[in-house]
Amino acid sequence: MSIRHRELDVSKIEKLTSEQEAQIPVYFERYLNYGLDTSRIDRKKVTPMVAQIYESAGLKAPELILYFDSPASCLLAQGVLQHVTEDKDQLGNQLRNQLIDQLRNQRRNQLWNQLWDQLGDPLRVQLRDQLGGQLGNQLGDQLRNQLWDQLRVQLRDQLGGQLGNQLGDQLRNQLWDQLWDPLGDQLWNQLGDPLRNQLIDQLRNQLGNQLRNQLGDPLRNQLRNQLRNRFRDQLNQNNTWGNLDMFWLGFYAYIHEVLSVEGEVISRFKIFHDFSKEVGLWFPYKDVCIISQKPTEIHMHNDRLHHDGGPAIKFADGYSLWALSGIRVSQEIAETPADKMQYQMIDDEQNTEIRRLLLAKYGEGRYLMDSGAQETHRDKYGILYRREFEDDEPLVMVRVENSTPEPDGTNRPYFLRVDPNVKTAHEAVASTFGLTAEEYDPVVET
Amino acid sequence: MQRQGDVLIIDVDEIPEDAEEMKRDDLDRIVLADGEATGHAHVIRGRQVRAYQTATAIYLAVVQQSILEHLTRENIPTKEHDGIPLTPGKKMVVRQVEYTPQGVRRVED
Repeated sequence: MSIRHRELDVSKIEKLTSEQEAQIPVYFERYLNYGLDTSRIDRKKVTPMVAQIYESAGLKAPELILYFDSPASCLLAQGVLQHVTEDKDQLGNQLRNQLIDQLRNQRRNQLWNQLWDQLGDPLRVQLRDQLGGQLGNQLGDQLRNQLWDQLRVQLRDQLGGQLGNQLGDQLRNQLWDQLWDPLGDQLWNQLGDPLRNQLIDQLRNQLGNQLRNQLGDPLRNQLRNQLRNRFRDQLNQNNTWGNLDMFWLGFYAYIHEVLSVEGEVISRFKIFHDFSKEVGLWFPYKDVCIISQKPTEIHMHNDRLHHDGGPAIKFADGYSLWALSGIRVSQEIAETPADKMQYQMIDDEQNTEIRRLLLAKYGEGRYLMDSGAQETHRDKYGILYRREFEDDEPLVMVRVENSTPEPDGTNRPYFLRVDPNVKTAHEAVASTFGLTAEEYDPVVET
Repeated sequence: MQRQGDVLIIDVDEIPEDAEEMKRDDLDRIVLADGEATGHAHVIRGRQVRAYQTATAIYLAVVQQSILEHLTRENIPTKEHDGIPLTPGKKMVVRQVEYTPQGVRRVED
């Protein structure tokens, strides 16, 4: 009672000393670099840490730790493991045996190689011989119950409660603004989020093709549909993001190390922190922990994920993500040199963000000139352009600027196609919201 | 009338009777629009707003002042759009559309 009472009475830290203030950019840099690290995992160092993490959350250490070169491979391996060991009704015995045979026979393939090599003999034999039996049920359960909630979410909540609450509101907001959000903007907004979205979008296509090459058609189709839903479910949850989690771990590391704020949760925090620093995205299950390597390449420009001419994030197994100015794009858009682009590519692109990037890459002036567009009206809302065609209705577009400036102070321009009958830029912008010019007059724009 | 990117918020007198209440997402947010290419969404986290949906529009009943934010799934603000305050009252949310000769279609970002 008395201890609790004293804890409640601890006065909050309200202000930073100048020394503490000076450490903010130091921590920012340090944790940004952890998140951008591209080194290979030191398995000897990391493997024992997995047991520590589980045990620190009161869980039994996993029996099996699997490493793969990319999160995509992790998810595929997870999906395959799960499907060979459960869903008996959906995946008949014959199909299952066929899959296992193929798994075994296609060892030249890197993914299967990695998976097969790591399973260890007992599990391999069981997988092959006792599918649908005891092991199948066990592994099914293990792979269904993700532990991220117990490992990551609980920890984050406790850190917020025990450490965060020892800071005054103003100071917490200051640190939030100067550490959490800027680190999160780089590590999560630029890396984690695009990666998550791409994994969801593309796994079903890319891995569907991979499966087609390795498995027969009937198997592939069944697996593909089942895997697609599973990937989405998995990645929609708050996964354990390894070194990309450093944005919030850095925030609490600063509070603990620089402000000397203590809490019961600190020992658990340190274990999670030290492990996360070493690995990429990881998938904790009851008895199996699947860990991805970090990328081998990350390209940033002006704090945005960006690589004109190649992948912006690349993993050792070739899994890649292409991005321009922080927006995920196709390989074709990222890798086609500007002088090889046709302006029709811009006209044909339906996504306005991607159209904007294409336009920036192609050059706005060059686009207007090449496409033969004429400026017909201009006001504070934008600029109206018109292009006549001999055999089609005119193309009328309004050029608008995003109201929130970019980090470099410029405003991103967008082109939106409007009804060819509009006469003014104001009317054009209003029409994109289904309004007349008289009706459209926002007081706040961001 | 307020605007955050491709979302326009207009004050209205009434919310249509046939509008159905929208569910909050798995992160307990009201999602007004979700960016396809970016994964960034126009969302309201505050619990003092109720959202309703018809076939064509979303309506908001703002009980206490709340913020319309532009966030990622980690709830970190994007650099694309600043948050805007929503004053108490009834609002209609209009998504931006683009003209095509075949008819208008929703702007995707």
